[in-house]
Amino acid sequence: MSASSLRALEYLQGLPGALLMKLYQQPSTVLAVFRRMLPHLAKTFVMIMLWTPRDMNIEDLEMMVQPDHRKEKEQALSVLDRLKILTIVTVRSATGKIARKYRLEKQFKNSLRAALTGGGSHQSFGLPCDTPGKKKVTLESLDGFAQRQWEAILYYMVGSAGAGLAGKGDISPGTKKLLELGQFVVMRKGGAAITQAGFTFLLQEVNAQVWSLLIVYLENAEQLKMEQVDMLSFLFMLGSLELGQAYSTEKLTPTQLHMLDDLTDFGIIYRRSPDPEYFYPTRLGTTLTSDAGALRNSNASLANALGATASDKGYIIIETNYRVYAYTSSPLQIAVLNLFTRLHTRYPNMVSGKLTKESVQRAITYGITAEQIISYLSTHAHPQMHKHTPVLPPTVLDQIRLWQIEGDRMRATPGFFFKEFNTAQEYQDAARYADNLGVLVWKNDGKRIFFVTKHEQLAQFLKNRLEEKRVAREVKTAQK
Amino acid sequence: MNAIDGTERQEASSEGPPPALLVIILDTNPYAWTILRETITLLDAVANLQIFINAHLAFSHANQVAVIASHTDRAVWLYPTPARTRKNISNGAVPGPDGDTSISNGNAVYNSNKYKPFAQVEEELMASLRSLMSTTDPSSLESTTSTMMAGALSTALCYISKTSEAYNATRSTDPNPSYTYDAPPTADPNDPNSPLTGLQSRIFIFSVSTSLATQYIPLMNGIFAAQRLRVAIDVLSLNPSTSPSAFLQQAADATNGIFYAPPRPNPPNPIALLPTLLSLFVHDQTSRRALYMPTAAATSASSSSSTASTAINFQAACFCHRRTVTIGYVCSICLSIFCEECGVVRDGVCLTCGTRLRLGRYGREPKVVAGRKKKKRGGEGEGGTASGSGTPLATPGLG
Repeated sequence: MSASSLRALEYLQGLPGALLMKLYQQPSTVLAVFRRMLPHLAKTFVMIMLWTPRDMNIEDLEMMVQPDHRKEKEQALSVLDRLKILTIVTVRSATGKIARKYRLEKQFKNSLRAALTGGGSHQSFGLPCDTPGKKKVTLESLDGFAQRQWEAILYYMVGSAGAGLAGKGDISPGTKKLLELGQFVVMRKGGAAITQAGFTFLLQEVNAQVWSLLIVYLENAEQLKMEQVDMLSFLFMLGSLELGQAYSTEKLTPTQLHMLDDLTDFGIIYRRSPDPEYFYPTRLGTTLTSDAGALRNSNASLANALGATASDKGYIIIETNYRVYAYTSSPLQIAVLNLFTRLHTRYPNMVSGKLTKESVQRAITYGITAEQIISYLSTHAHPQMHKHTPVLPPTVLDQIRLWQIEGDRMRATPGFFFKEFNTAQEYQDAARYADNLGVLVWKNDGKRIFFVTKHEQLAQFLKNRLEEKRVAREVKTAQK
Repeated sequence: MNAIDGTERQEASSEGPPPALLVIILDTNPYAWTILRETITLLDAVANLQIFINAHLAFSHANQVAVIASHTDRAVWLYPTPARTRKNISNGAVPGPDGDTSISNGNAVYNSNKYKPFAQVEEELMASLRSLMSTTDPSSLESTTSTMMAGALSTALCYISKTSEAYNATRSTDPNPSYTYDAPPTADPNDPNSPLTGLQSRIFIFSVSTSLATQYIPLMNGIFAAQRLRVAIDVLSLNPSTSPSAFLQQAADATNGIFYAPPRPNPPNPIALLPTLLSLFVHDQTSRRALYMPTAAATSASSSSSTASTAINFQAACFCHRRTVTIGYVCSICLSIFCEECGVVRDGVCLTCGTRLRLGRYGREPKVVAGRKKKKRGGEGEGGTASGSGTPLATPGLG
């Protein structure tokens, strides 16, 4: 899963159950959640259970998965659980036997079924509009609009990094406020200054950037007096719309109508005049819920939409001697590159520079991490670079990491500490389970202690074990 | 310093599973559907298949689908249709087979309760199915009662090959661009550690016809081609006869696909069809890696419990009369299979390659060996024809 969908997923997982249930009423939302947020194995489980009349026994599911894919199964189930898609129910059969089964959440099930069969009257896949003014809006103009709007935001942020680009393009006060709320920039006297989160934002791919901003937007929904559910449904609906098609605003809720203005500012949708009865989603909007596979294919167009001259092919060449050649004339890309490279020559279609200890460590003082630099370099690597594996020269990668480590020897991870396990067995099971879930940060087998980032499911796991033990004990005493 | 570790360098950005292409071969043989009409109609099947297709497309934006009808006398494209001006069939922004990503104009009227790509597939599928039915005239049905399964299978394989190449071409960033389908990687397809790259294709055959013996040779060639392309062939067989089709069973077995024939006593019913499709056949290669899949052998064993056969039916069809045979004669030179009827046994000449074959001691009563003599071993092989009685023939490995 790409970084962008991870952000959205984390946000969704943090939502209370009641809100999720409300969200799941819209088939378009459910389809987008299914498609974008779930791990592959989780999708498979949902599909198996979708039209099966009975709930699924826990043991049956257990038996389906090959042993070396346990970990993926645990992760899949954990996501399904956190999104409240799958619940465990205890069923007493006619013979009095108690069985624990997985049950697909009813609302989710119904909506996904509706999405697949195309039934119902929810109209959640957008109401196309037949008379969009006199002239049809061309794809080029849509892309151009999206590019202008989004680049303006990026320029604003890069400009605030003091890269000498300030003033190019202006963004609405609402967007500025939002960037500030998201702590991408902080207001100091004399203007905005970019923060660590801001640099992280800049170095992401476009889709991830859009999501990061939208999540801030969602998180501040209450402050803006807007309905979170409506907002999410609308965003997910945007992802299922067709580029170049006008859609009617007729069925939208007040919140969603309000959103139209903000989304126009971001360049996610386009409207001819401030108040028409229809809108066009731009490529930024229609690819909101696309996954990595589709993004890669549409990358060329997406990149075109965002002015990357070399389209999806990438433009950066790095040599083992730390020299960087970037085939670009986009001021934005040069500015981003300038954050961590020492640029020295600029040609009409290319800039060249060098990764130096000073330049990288300067970036690190800004709050950019080595991993971010590396991922930026590798996602934008020139096709020539892709002929090698690994794509980037290992010496350079290691050196960037070493430069970071020089100044940074400690990392803080918020989380939970587990200790005082009674038996070695109990400790090992719990630790293994945590590892499978992917939440284990550190453990010490000798002292039977470990540290995890999330504790809810682990606590449930331990509780279940206790329960099982208690039942086993009762059975034993009953047998006596 | 532990953080600086060579293993981390590879870190291919976690892209998730590769996209999957599903080619559905729908058997539209009118004879077979007529026999089944009491229990399930073609319309029921298509409606269920439609949901199945949507489910497949729902898995990922990059997933693609194609549907081919295997009619009595020809294989017909149902989706995507090559002839008509096609709308943007792709799901998301994946270019269609002919590379057009243009946006359709003037068909703005559609149901907003339905996801657009799903609606497009359905519309086109139904339209071409209708045109197929209307162009079928009685005279064309008279010649045969079988179905053009081999033709449909070859069409499917051609399409898969073309689409995979187009897919690989669009991904210039592929780490190993020299990879072509002419030379499959040496890695064993069953090796769970070899990474899945490129477009993952599989074929799903919805079969209702009984005998395919007339197409034995092209069908087998298709199966071996699929095996080589690492394309799994899944089969759902609803044929009205008592035994599931042997050749399709072999197809599923040879390509690591899934074969399922509903248990005989209960007739196939349309309500159970969808759960079957979704729980058995929705898995793409990625999830097949992780789950225990009912293999061809396992499902046929459980489903045809009435016949008590516990393995795949490895029957072959003879090259001379196109009949299914359990015991036949195999030419040792060209591996052609013959039955008793033709002159091969009498004349000792292979009808395919013309080689003169010696039948050795075939037909004689086996000598009862008295006492124990430990010395001779393997003296049997002097005859040219491998004609031992009861030798299992035409295992897929022979190809």
